[in-house]
Amino acid sequence: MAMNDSDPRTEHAANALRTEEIEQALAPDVDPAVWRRITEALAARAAAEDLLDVAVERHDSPFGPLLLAATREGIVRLGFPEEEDGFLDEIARRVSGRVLRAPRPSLSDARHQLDEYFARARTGFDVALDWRLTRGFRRDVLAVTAAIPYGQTASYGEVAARAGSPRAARAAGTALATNPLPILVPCHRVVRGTGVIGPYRGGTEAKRRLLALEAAGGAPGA
Amino acid sequence: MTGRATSRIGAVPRPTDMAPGAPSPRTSPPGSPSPPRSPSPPGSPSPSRRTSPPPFASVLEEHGRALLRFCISQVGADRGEDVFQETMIAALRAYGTLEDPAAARSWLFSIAARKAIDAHRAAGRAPLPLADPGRLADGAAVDPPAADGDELWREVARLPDKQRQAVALRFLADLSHREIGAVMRTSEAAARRNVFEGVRRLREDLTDPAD
Repeated sequence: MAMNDSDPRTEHAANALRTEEIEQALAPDVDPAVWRRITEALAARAAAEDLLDVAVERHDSPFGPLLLAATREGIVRLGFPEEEDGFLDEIARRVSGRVLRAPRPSLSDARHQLDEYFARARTGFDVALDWRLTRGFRRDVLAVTAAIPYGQTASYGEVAARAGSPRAARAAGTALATNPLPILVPCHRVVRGTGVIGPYRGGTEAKRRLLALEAAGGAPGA
Repeated sequence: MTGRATSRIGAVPRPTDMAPGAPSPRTSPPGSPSPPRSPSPPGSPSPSRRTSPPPFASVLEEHGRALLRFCISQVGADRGEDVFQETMIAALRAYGTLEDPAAARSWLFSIAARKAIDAHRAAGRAPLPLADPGRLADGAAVDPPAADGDELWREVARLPDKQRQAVALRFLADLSHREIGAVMRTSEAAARRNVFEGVRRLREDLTDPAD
């Protein structure tokens, strides 16, 4: 196959057709722009035929691209950039394999509100949430966490007590560490009692920045 | 509120029962050998223990382009995209039943092969459109094949259906002869023969372009 200066026909006569030649003959490579259009059409049709269990979109934020996943019921998962690798696999394993990168109204709502939040133009979120990735005591902990007002903090012990188990601070910590909906359910507002920030799914630095954002005067319209 | 999953994995029909997405029941008789699945071990674990399928988004990313090219190779550029969309919607519909993630590729291509045959029948066995293969339905640009490749594509279109399908399953889908046999409902030996004959014809046609 090395003699490229010979007549290609002779080449073919002398050699089996090369794999790439056959592939190209069967159908040309797919242009990226065409591929994008086709996958968008597929996602739209999947949604129209009610086959889209989970829609996933990326959203730029001060922390880098966040990942948002929505079921028909609402936002089911928000992921930080460092969670990107396992994100779709986790959705497939714990929610449904019928997941596509696609828009969905609840995703647009959440993305719009996140932008406002990061711009300090919003102090709370009003989006439908799907809580199926948490349950039991963890769910209770997240529910009371959702009620901590913007710009304020609570300790792990306080959150545990509000969830009905005053001595379960450690379990409350686990619940918050596995919060499937960070930022939207503000687990960053739960800190160690002594003023130490404590761990966070998106990293301690992200938690510090969220608390600083909320401490910096609050939203204009708050 | 919690755990009310709208679609439990495994609760939808098996791929062979894919009635909603398969307009021609004759193309998927019960008990047919395809789509290839991993054999369920005796006393297989409960459905909840089953390995969950990979995210469909990943399957699309990994196999979608090759699948689109396969569809175009079977029905031409104009109808290829429709066949691709039909295939992916049918796959999505039956997705929860895909037991073996490793079989996703041959499973997808077996659906596409049937959709392509359906499209042929629907078109009343019209000859394959010898459209410019460098053009997709909306006229968007794709890499135009070299003159040589263009000529070869015309030969591909002229192949007998079985050979064209077998060659495409071998080279675009990268399936083994055994998998091609399962998809086309032929023996492995017949699959091998179809691939071999198809490639031989392409080679001869190119060697002797006066054909």
